[in-house]
Amino acid sequence: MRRRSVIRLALAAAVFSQLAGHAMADTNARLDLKKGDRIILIGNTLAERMQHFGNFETLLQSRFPGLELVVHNLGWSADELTLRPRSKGFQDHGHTLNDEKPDVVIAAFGFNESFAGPAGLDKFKRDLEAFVKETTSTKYNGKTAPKLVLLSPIAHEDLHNPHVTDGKTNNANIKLYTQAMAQVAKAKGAIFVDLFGPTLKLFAKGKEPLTINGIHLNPQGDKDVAIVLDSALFGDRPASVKADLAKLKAEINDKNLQFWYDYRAINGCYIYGGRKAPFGIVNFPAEFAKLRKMVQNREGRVWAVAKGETVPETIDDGNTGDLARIETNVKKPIHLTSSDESKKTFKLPEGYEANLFASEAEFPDLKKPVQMTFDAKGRLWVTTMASYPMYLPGRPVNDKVLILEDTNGDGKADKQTIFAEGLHVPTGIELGDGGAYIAQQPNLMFLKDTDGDDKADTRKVILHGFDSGDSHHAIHAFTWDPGGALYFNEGTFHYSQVETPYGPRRLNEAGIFRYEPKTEKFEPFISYGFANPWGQYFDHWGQNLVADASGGANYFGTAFSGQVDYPQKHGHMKEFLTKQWRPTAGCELVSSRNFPDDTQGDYLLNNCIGFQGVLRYRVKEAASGFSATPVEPLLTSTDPNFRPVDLEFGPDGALYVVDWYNPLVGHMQHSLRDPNRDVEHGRIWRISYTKRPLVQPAKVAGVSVPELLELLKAPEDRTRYRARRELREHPEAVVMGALKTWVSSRSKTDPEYWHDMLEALWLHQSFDVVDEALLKTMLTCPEPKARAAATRVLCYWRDRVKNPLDLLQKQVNDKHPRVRLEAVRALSFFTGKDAAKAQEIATESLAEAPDDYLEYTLNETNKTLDRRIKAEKKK
Amino acid sequence: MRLIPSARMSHFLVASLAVFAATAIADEEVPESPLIKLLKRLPDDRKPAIIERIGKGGKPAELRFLFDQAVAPGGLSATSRRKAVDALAEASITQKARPEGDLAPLAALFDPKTDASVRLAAIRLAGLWGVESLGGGLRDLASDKASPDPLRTAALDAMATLGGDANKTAISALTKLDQPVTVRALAVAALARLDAKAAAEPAVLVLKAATKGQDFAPMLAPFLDRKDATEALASAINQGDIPVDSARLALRAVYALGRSDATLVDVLSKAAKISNEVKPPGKAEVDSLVADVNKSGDAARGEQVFRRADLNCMKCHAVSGAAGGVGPELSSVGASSPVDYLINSLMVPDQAIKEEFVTKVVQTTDGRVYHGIVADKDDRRIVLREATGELRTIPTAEIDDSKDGGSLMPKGLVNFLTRAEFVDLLKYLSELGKPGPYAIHTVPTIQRWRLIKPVPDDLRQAVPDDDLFQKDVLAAETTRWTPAYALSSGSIPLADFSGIAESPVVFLQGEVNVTAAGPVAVSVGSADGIKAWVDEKSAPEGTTFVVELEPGIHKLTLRVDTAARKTLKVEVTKPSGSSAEFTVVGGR
Repeated sequence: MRRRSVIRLALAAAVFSQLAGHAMADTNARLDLKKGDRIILIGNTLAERMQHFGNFETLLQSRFPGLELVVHNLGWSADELTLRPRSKGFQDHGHTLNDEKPDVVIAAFGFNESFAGPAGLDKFKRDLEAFVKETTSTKYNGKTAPKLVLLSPIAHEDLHNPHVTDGKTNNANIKLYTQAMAQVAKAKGAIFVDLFGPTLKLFAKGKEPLTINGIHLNPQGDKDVAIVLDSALFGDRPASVKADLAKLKAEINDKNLQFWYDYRAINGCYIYGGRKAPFGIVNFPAEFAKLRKMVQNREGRVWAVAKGETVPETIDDGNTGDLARIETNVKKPIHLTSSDESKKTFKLPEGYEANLFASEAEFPDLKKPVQMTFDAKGRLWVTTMASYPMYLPGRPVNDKVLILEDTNGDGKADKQTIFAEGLHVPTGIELGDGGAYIAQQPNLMFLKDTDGDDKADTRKVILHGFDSGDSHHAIHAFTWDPGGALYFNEGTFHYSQVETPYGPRRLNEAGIFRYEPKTEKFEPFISYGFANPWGQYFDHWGQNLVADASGGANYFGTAFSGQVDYPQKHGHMKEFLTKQWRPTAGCELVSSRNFPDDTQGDYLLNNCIGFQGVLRYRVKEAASGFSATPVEPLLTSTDPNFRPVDLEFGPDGALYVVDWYNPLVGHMQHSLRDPNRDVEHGRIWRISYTKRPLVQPAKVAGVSVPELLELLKAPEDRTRYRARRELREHPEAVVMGALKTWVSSRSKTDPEYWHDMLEALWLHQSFDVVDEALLKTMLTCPEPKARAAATRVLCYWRDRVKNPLDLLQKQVNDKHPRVRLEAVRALSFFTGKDAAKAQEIATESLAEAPDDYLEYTLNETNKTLDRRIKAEKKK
Repeated sequence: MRLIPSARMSHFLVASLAVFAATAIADEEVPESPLIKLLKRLPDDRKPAIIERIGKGGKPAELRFLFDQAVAPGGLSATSRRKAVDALAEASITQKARPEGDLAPLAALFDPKTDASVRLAAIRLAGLWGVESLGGGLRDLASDKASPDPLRTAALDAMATLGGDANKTAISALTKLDQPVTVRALAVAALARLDAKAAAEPAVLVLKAATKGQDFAPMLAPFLDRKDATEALASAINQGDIPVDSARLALRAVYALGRSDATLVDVLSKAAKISNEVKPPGKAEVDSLVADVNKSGDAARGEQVFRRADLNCMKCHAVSGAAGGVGPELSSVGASSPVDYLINSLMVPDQAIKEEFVTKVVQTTDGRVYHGIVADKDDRRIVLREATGELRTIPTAEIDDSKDGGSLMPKGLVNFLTRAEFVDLLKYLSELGKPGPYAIHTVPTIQRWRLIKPVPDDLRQAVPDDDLFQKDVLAAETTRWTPAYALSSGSIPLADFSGIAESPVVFLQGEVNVTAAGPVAVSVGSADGIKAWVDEKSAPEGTTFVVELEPGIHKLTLRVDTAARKTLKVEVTKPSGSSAEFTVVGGR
């Protein structure tokens, strides 16, 4: 341990000597610090990510051991000088500059602003001047205005990945904005640190990438930039420091973690927001008072270690005060039912059977399960949330991802592996790209097992900035579409903003996100005023249905997934089925040969209060969309603790239902700390149809690419789902080669021919390999559902195919309404000079009688295009 | 068909001439936009979608073309014409866009020969456009005794928007005591928008002349839109010495509007002799209420409280899918909400609001204040669902200020209750959705009924044959049907229904929406005193009968002699093997 850190330090010093030169030349002035100075970082993701690595702070504290500096990082994903959306009441949480009383402000802006290009430069300069003036003239600490350090954006790293932008355009803009910052800083008397020039050189020189996506530093990149920054602000490193740097960094990171729990507390609505009364105001003041004292204790340890002193192994937080004692407001006795008792209350239609797949009795780690998914080996992965509803100061979180396995095929789990632990309220999970995507609000994290022992070895935050104002509204209901994009949903009250290599993407007050890990493209998919859309399902032909939990509404997703520009949202949308109850959690279509024929395609919907069970609806094609009516529920329970929150067909064709199991639900009806909120239980139920054999689980793991391609013909949606996911684990060239053979071996007389071809198109999309000829074949093929799906692929390939508007003009005049709907939807994605032409083409859809959905989508597309046309005229 | 007085005839004539002139100009000047090309090319039944698009697009040249088509005799079918007038209204509201050129030809659509709904929409459009020259036609309509209420209301409303001495004088005239009280109420509402001070006194006179059960909400609403108007009315009421019953009805109307403005509620409460104290309950009070609810609360009595008209609960909240539509559905509220939470929800409605029911208070540039749940919103307009269930569209350009509002649930409802009633109400709510008699029921029952009122003697005395049934019941105008709702359990309170219909024999009608054809079973528990029809045909007799239904909405009508039976619950189920798929129609 000790040895390694010395080597690292030596390396750092080597890099430092190469870097220091550039930075110093661009610095207006050095930063002088006094004892006890409070240094507050603000700005975008560049600033935010620094706290997760701790490199800059380590250099800082080790350089000034006696100064006892307080460093708080208020960086916030995608913040801009004049745009910093926060959930309601955040300003009362105690972390404004007035609260933080800075002596020094270090501000990282300009990256997100730079996407406005040369046209936005003047505005940026004006905004920056105003910002510098305000920051350097306001006496936040009550005595003097702070010193201000402006950090330029880092350069965009060319990852030499054909699927991700090389950043050339971005760099041209960042350079312009960096120069503007230098000018303003000079004119207005702020300290300026150019990170653009030095990082451009670093990126050019480095053999290994220093960013994760071109724009966000990886651990090594952060280390290198920390050195640049340290030297730019303070000059040469001292000849020696007293601190053990590894130890110091560990102390700093622990301090930062506790500060993170405070600053980015989840459940803000109940802490400082619109729902703080009547419960939050009772428990939270003491919790945050304690947490803030815990941060101070850790700051003390940082200072001690910086001075070379030793600190006790365990941290004494005995001085941080007591938490308020919270009593339950449930007056009636609560009976926690055993799984046997619970099962006795289950009612299923004739022929169906429910059995317990797993419970807390056999697997005590199965506490508060939330979302599940099946891996290539057919094993069930599930997130657990014992720390729900949120971190309690002083009690380390230990939520997990479990792998549950039925090794003997008796329909019951008999083996558990802990893939990951130490997580905090992981509301969603999906597997893919060699690892697991997991919600770690406010972030999306990617965890990977690198040595094959089914335990996560690496953790990487890949997307930042999902709001966490209400922890059960945070990103959830993860699912892949057939074309390899990952989706997750968030509920209302949230103001999310995420930096991407293509510019910042924002969403206010609920919606669904779409993320292409291959291309790093990320954007709101459905921006709609949902309450909390806890469910999305892509059907056999790629059409998506969405379930909104709180109100119990269900929607046909295609119609409102066209583009709207932030902060606009889609208008009121009709529901595709007659709502019976609320609230719901999770939806799925029946697609299993184990279930009766007449139920195939039925829409299943968990409902968790009042009616507790799985509702079932018969779905019908209705012109461009669908409609559904209730049929006999699949499962009804009278156990008040039974809370079905996720459901999915397993590899054996049985339906698996996650039971969150809790006598108390709802954040508003009881204190978040109500002692009757259960944290110990959790169950997974399995429903099968006894009059038919189970489905022989498909072999997905460890089979060849041609065998995987054959699985794309499987009738079960979930089998094809897992096959597609697994195919992406193989090299592009191998898959594309085998796909060619597979496609040419298909017979046009096969009734499934066009679906097979669609799978081939989706696989191209998943690998981001544009095949224009195949696309055109599918756009005009005889199967309207395939034409509709291809039209959606065209939408996402519009920047890479020739004359996309001409292609869409044909689709807008298609004889099938769903194709027209997809085309009208796709036209909403055209910007700039194309917007007017897109609008003209959209109008052509009226040549055929529109149904409700077409009318709605045309209206929504037109609204978006109208706004863009108007903006274009102003230019 | 009514004869048109000659003076007005000439008015229409002038308007029609203008139409032709405008059409002639339009033909030469309107460029052929893709939408106009489509409008010209497509058959009439395909035009509504194009027309809607033109309204949403808001391009003045396209709107002109549409307008000319709408006012030209024989220019569009009734459906398309209605759509055109709506589209012109939408363009005006959300985009401040109007047809270019002269708008006076709109008067052509005031003609009584015009389809009633088009006429109504045209009157509203006249108000939106604020074209002075249309005032004459509107004043004629407003003062014509033969004008139906909705038309009169629209005309008065349009006149209020137009303003000016002539309109104000005409509106004032209709507030005078020589007018019927219903007309006075309509005119007072219009006058309140123009001159609240002048309207306050006539409003008090209307309140004094109140009849049993009269709904004052439409008259009071405009007073609540502006603070100074609310104060003017409050002061007039304070001096006006209105009867207790009128005050109670007025208070109920204010609450039904989702408002609890202290100025007005204070004087009305005083006149109604009801406490107007609204203060959050202390911990001791909550604890004692919770204890009483658990000890002595009676859910059945509580349901009766919930159903009381003066509390308006069912105006906003559905239980078992019936009534409501503004606030949360309450069928399972007890399953997730402890009693203290319910107490707070009733006494301090602003404290905890479900996410779909967060409200906005919007103040417009002309000083009006609207309060409602956001039903839809974009950069052009916001649509609020007001407490009455009505949608109100406010153009973004007219919004002066918009902030988060509290709950639409009125504060002070509890003052209508004795403590025992409150305890029972809480008990009822806390049982909803829990296992037991108030669990949600999964067997579909008809919850929302319509009652014929009054019941004609011949229908009362004997069971009508199918012909008479079709003529006198099935074909009865919508205004003769009054909504009534089953208890949350699905049971029909026959005595209450009989009271509403003012007849021991009641005709009640429910609806089933069938989406897949097949046999559907209807069960009525016992055959005593009951006769059923499905759509126009007599249903088979018996406690349960099966009918074959095609997709569409089907009406189940029952004639029930309430003297012959005590209870009734109507279940609609799927016989085994049936291919039918259906839902029972609920809502208001």
